[in-house]
Amino acid sequence: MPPTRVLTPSTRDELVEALAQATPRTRLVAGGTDLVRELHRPGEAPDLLIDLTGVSGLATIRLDDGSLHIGALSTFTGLQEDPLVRRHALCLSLAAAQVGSVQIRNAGTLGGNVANASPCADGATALMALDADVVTVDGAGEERRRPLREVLLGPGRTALRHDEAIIEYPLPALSADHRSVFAKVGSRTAVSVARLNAALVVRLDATTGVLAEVRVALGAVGGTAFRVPELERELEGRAVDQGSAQLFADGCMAAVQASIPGRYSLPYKQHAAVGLAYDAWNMLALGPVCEPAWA
Amino acid sequence: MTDDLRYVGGSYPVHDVTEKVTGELVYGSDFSVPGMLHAKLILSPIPHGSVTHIDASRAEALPGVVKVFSHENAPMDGFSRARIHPGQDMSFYDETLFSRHVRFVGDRVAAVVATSRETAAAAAALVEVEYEELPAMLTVDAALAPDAVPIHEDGNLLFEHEIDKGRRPDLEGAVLVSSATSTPRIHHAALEPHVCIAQGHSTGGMTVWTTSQGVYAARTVIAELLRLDYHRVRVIKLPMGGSFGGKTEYIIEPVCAFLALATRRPVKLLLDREECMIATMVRPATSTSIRTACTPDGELLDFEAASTLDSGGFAASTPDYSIHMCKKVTKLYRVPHYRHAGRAVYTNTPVGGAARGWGAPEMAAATEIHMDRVAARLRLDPVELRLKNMVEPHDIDLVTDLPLGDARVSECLRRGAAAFDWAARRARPAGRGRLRRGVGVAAGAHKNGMYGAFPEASRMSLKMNEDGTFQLNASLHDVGCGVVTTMKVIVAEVLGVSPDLIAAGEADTATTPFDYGTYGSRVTYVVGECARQVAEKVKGRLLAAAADLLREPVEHLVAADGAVRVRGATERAIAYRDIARLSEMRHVPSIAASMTYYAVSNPASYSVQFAEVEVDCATGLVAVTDFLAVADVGRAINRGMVEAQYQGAVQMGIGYALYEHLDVDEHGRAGVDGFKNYHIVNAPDMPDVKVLLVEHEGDDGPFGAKSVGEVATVPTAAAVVNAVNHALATELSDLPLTPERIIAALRGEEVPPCSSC
Repeated sequence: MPPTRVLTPSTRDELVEALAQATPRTRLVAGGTDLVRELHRPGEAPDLLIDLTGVSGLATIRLDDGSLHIGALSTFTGLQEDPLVRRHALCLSLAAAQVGSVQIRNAGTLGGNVANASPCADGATALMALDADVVTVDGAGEERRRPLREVLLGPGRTALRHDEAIIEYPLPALSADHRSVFAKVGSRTAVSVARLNAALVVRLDATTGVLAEVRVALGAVGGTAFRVPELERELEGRAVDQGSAQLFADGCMAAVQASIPGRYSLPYKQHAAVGLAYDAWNMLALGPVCEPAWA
Repeated sequence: MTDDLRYVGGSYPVHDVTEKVTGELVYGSDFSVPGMLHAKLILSPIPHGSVTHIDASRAEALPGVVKVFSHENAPMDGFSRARIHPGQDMSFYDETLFSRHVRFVGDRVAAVVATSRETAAAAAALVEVEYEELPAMLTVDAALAPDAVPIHEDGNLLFEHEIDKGRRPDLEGAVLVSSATSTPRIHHAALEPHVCIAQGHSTGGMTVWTTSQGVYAARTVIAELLRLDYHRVRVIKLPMGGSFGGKTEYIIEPVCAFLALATRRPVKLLLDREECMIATMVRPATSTSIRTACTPDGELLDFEAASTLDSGGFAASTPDYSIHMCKKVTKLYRVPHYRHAGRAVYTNTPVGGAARGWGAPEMAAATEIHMDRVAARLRLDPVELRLKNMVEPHDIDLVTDLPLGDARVSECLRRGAAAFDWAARRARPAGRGRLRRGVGVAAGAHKNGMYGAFPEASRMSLKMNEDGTFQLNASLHDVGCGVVTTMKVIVAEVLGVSPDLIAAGEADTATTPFDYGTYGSRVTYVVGECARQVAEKVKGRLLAAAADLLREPVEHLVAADGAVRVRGATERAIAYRDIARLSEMRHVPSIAASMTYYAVSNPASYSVQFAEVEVDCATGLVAVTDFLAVADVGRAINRGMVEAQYQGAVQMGIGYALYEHLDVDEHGRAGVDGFKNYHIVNAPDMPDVKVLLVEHEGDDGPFGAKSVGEVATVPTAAAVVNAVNHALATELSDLPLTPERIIAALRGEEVPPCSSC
């Protein structure tokens, strides 16, 4: 069998040139933390690997006119520590901090996290709650901007064409009136794929103190991370109190039930969703710690 | 306790730590010989059926491929991977190099031999194998059902065994308690995968390099299967990156040896993680039901147990494993009557076999979870109940009739309970909130070698070099537990020189004397005592030579710090170096000795462990927040190593209690292929494990030492489970306590099977 070719573009133009050579068997290399495992499995090898890690500018994080632009090659470690991300998209930083191990966070990227389309991707859940878009470039040099939910189609499935690479995620920067958090349940404390994750973004009305805007995303319960708009609407206009916390928890549980009916993991996940919801809620640190009555 | 020991009881690194840290050590995966080929196994993708057709033409056409081997062109003689000795009972010759009748997903169907590992792997994907499927018996219940399809000729009930000892007293007024516990099939999780290199010689015979726990038995299995004379099969132990029993039996060695002879080239067979998980061996899944009777104040009157062990596709050592499950309880508790029925059952799942503790962790889980249930029924504290029933030093084991030796388990329990502040912690309310705390205790017993069940002996020789350093020649197998260092420290203590002045290598059937190897908790107790005695012999020769040189009677001499001195006249001394130099020229024989040491006893080693847990009632996740392991070790030879062994053992046991399980789905496939989806406990989830050593040196091991490596993990899982049950007021007894199972128990739902998510 022919050996796999590797291209190592270092500029945007070279990247476009490389993408122009891509076929459906081509794979893009970002952090490689999932891809390398996959390459070691039996099966047809890729015809071409395009290494994105040397392309200049892809790991940039910048704030531009109220919009935060996160380069696709930003590593989880970078996201974890970046001051702009911490200020304007905290839940993404918190999600990044919970991905895999230190080694994986040092290598793994937000671009790969979305392109790999794992239903458990922590970064995708946070991006979903942040209303992020996805900007790609293709082999013809054309850039496209789409909402993330249009890119993620299902487990391992995206709307990305084989000659299309994610270059950045623009998202509305959160203001000082916003709070955003991320919570996760794995099968152990660290180095664990999420069994359930959630990102919550809220904005408080500066005068009334009520929830003026609420965004809820859940992951690892269904094919892709998703938003829960009906729950968001229900919460908006409410005070930050135990009643809202319970509404939020019940809504998360209902969303889990609706997302994976009949699944083996449902009895567990619907229960764990309540704990996860209270974790997220209490992380907002907007009032007294809320807790439900436990059995 | 003797306090005049100079080296024994200190802390020493494992003998090859420097080479490990610098990368100088050559592990099997890096080892090569000129002209070496690489083999890749082809494993059955179906759990049960027969191979109807193999087409290797596309694979063999690939440049670099030497040949594809399968049942069509390899010997089909049966062999037992667990055979230590050619005269041994309990060997089941139910396995062949390559299977035609495949019995589990992962069964060896064929092997590709090629000039590179990559080519072999690529070619393996091109071998076309056709199967005719048979119904798969994936559980013990399915395998024993009346309409079950036989996995082997004689049916699926592989082995049955019952012991019935003592006399049942009158049970009138007794409190009866029943329990049923199950333990999972798990992966040994040694960091290093299985690897073997074999090379045939034009003069006949062959050399095999392997990461094995016993090279002589590897030789036996290879020689018998390939019909070679024993003296022509040289097996050399390689440095090893962990085993935990997973490399005790001879699985890839005969395959690799055959491939080398068949291709007339050296061959390396290196498995990947998924292959290690499904195609080597697992700790077998077990289930045990227990019914005890005791007086209302907690004295055990009767203990009846029935255990079923899931052997998987081949017998391996599981019949013996099953027997040993019946030999654990009476090492720990006094009971007038003990009956235990054990059976091992073939299923279409990965092969069960040797695993750290050899049935003891399985049985400790069942027993110690049961004892907590008894305590709850009688409203007794678990420590108190155990103290009422524990064996005391020099009791006789009811089942084996062997003396238990200086059995200090009740002392371990008492001292541990005090150190852990058990009474106060146990009395603390678990809480009604999301996080609930509990504490649990469990005790475990294990053996010290095979005395009483198998001829137990060790052989070695020791000589003084011409410069006063020493050379120990023994078949040592360091599996990561510091065996080489242990032997050096023992010899050093006797001879009065630093362990650094003693050379000791590992096993090589061509050059080191017969020894079974590292398993059965025999090394420190039996091999170590052999080392002590051979060192005493050499010391005798040394003193005799010094007496001659100093012209003093031997009775006036002391050997210490590398010199022999005259008692009371310390200026009259002669260094070992000078004795060696001078005596070699004047004395025959030189300062050397050989010996065979026959074990004289098999006492029990004990551990009592205390766990504190915090259970998250929302997520079902359990945090082990504190842990104390108390160890009846007789005497620590290498203190730091004993503590480290315990810390590792607790890591393993917590995984057994909470995380690890290698289940198969309805297609017989394990849902795991690596540590990404097979979770062991990692550092963030490990408590600070405190180790308390109880040292009495009352038995026949070197300086009173007893076994550590296996018993250390025996009670761990039970202690954790008991702590969770205390925190939640539950009676969970199906391991592991996954979040699903904990949440189901809290919600009063049926405990679900342990499936991967």
